Amino acid sequence: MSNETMVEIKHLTKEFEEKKGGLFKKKRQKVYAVNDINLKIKKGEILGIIGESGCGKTTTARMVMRLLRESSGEIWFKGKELCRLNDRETKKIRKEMQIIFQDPYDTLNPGMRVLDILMEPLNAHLSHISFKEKVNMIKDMVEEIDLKPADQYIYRYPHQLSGGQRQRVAIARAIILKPAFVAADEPTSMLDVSVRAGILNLLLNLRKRMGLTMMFITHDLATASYMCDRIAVMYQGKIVEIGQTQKIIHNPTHPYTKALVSVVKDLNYFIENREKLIRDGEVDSSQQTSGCPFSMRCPHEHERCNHVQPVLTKLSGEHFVSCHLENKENFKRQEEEAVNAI
Amino acid sequence: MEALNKKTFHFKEKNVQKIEETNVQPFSQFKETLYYLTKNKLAIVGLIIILLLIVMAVIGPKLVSYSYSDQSLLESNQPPSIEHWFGTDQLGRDIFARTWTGARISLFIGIMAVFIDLIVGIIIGGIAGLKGGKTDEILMRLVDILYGLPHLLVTILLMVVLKPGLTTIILAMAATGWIGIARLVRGQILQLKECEYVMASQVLGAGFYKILFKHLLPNTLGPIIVAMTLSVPGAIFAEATLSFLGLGVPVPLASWGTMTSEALVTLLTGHLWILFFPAFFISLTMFAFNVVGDGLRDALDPKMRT
Ligand SMILES: Nc1ncnc2c1ncn2[C@@H]1O[C@H](COP(=O)(O)OP(=O)(O)OP(=O)(O)O)[C@@H](O)[C@H]1O
Ligand SMILES: [Mg+2]
Repeated sequence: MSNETMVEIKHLTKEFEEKKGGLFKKKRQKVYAVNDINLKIKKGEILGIIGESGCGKTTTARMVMRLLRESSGEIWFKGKELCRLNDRETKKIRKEMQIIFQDPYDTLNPGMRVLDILMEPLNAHLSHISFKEKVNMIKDMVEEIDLKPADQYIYRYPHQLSGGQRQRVAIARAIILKPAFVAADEPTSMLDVSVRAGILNLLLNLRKRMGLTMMFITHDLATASYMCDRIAVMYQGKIVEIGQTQKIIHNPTHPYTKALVSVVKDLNYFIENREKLIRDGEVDSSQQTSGCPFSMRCPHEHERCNHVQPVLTKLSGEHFVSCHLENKENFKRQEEEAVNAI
Repeated sequence: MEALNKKTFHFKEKNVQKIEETNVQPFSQFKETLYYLTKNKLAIVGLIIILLLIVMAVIGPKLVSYSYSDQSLLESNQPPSIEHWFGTDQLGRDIFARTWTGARISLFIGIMAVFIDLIVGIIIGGIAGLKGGKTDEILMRLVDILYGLPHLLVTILLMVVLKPGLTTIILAMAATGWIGIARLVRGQILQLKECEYVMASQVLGAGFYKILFKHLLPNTLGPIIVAMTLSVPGAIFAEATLSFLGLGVPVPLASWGTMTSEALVTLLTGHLWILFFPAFFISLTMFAFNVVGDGLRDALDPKMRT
């Protein structure tokens, strides 16, 4: 893995406006889906983003893919600032970054055959090569994602494929243009456990062969630790801990990460110690605390947590956490260091 | 468990190769729809009825030597006979000739009104769904207001303002008829826009029109076709309603609606066949289109397939 940065996210924020209330007294309330996050993804690296449902993982990925406009912040990709590109430049850059979606039943147009589906990216970007060559490219690609023999699959409609096979086709569609960067938004969360491993291994193989850089989104720590070089833990639109997979698994520092890790380690332990690990509670995204976003459910909650927002602070090497319990003292000094280094 | 009896055991389909081939064979959405539609016996009956009605509307008036407007007071109120297959009306006009001339007008009104609904509805609904935001808000409020007005009143007002005739009837009915289609198209497009395959296409670099014609329209077509088949009889019936109010096609033109309303007096005089034939064909048309519409809906919906 080189030290070259492929993607860099700076102070990325997305707020949605939610209309609440009755007919006359409409209150507009801001919901922060993604709240000032900073990330770097190195070339050839798989960065995992993990967190519970609704914490802003999909929103982040969609902003990077330019499917959603950011509220503020910057996204750098290969030395270009994506937020400032015009439509033509955006189309050009799209050849180099792709996304794999979550729902295998929604990701392929039910009225198109596999051949037509895979033809779409080729038609959009490789208009100069002949139809026959494109078909050959598609056949090679289909075999590469382990649907063999290709002739048997390319004339099928999505409803003639299993969920796993569909997801493979979606992967083929994403990588047929040989992009440098792929975001995978929970690509296995809707698949059978038995099919899951196959898809994960396929992605790992592809990365090895093509040198892909990936942003891998999941809510399952086991999957994340299998796939990722580094993991960023997200909670309520913020990154609360980020570091190498080993560090996160063996030395989780943020209480939320601790809770996540303990689930994987031993389910029974989690059930018995539920109270201690994480307090029950409805999460209300619209409620912005001035303090730590996790404070409402944190078992170690202190006075300070309610008022002062913690910042990502260096623990060791590349391991960062934002929690008052860990960095009571010299966190002011390290704060700036952290923002620069992530 | 009983042992396998080799004498009685055999494959249902002998050619195993063939079974596999049928599995692998690519098939098209169109063929699939047609297959399930033809499996629905009632829908087939409906289709045949519609075809027969159209054929008769074309050739029917030519089968007899009378024209729809030929009057012969000497032969008024005659029951069906070899001379006059459906009998004659109060003015001695041949009901067979009038029924099929009427079929032309009724079917024309029904199909044209729906056709205009469709075009206006797709454009308005499509713009609202695709543009979203303020445009959507404004267009949909407009639709809500129109929807709130009593349709019949709007139609009658328009017919009073414009000069009477076939075109006016069609326009007046289309003036409010497009609302349903517009809502349908908007809803479909809003839903499809959030589909992952549409977003994937966007990320792949497909332009707006590519996405519109490759993904959005083909997947909206099914529900539109169904709504269309179901609203043709509605339009025919609406024309009949207008005829009862004296706002139908001007005499001596005949539509099923005007024929029925003119024949109402026969309830008193007892020459019921004059009422029966146009009323019967209105009902038959409504039945046929409804049955085909239902069949199409089931055939297009994968969840209804067993
Ligand atoms: N279009 C929208 N309008 C309003 N709020 C939205 C919109 N899209 C997302 N949100 C809100 O933003 C927050 C983050 O949503 P997001 O889809 O990014 O979560 P996620 O982490 O991907 O969850 P999941 O694991 O369920 O996919 C949620 O609270 C959601 O309600
Ligand atoms: Mg998501």
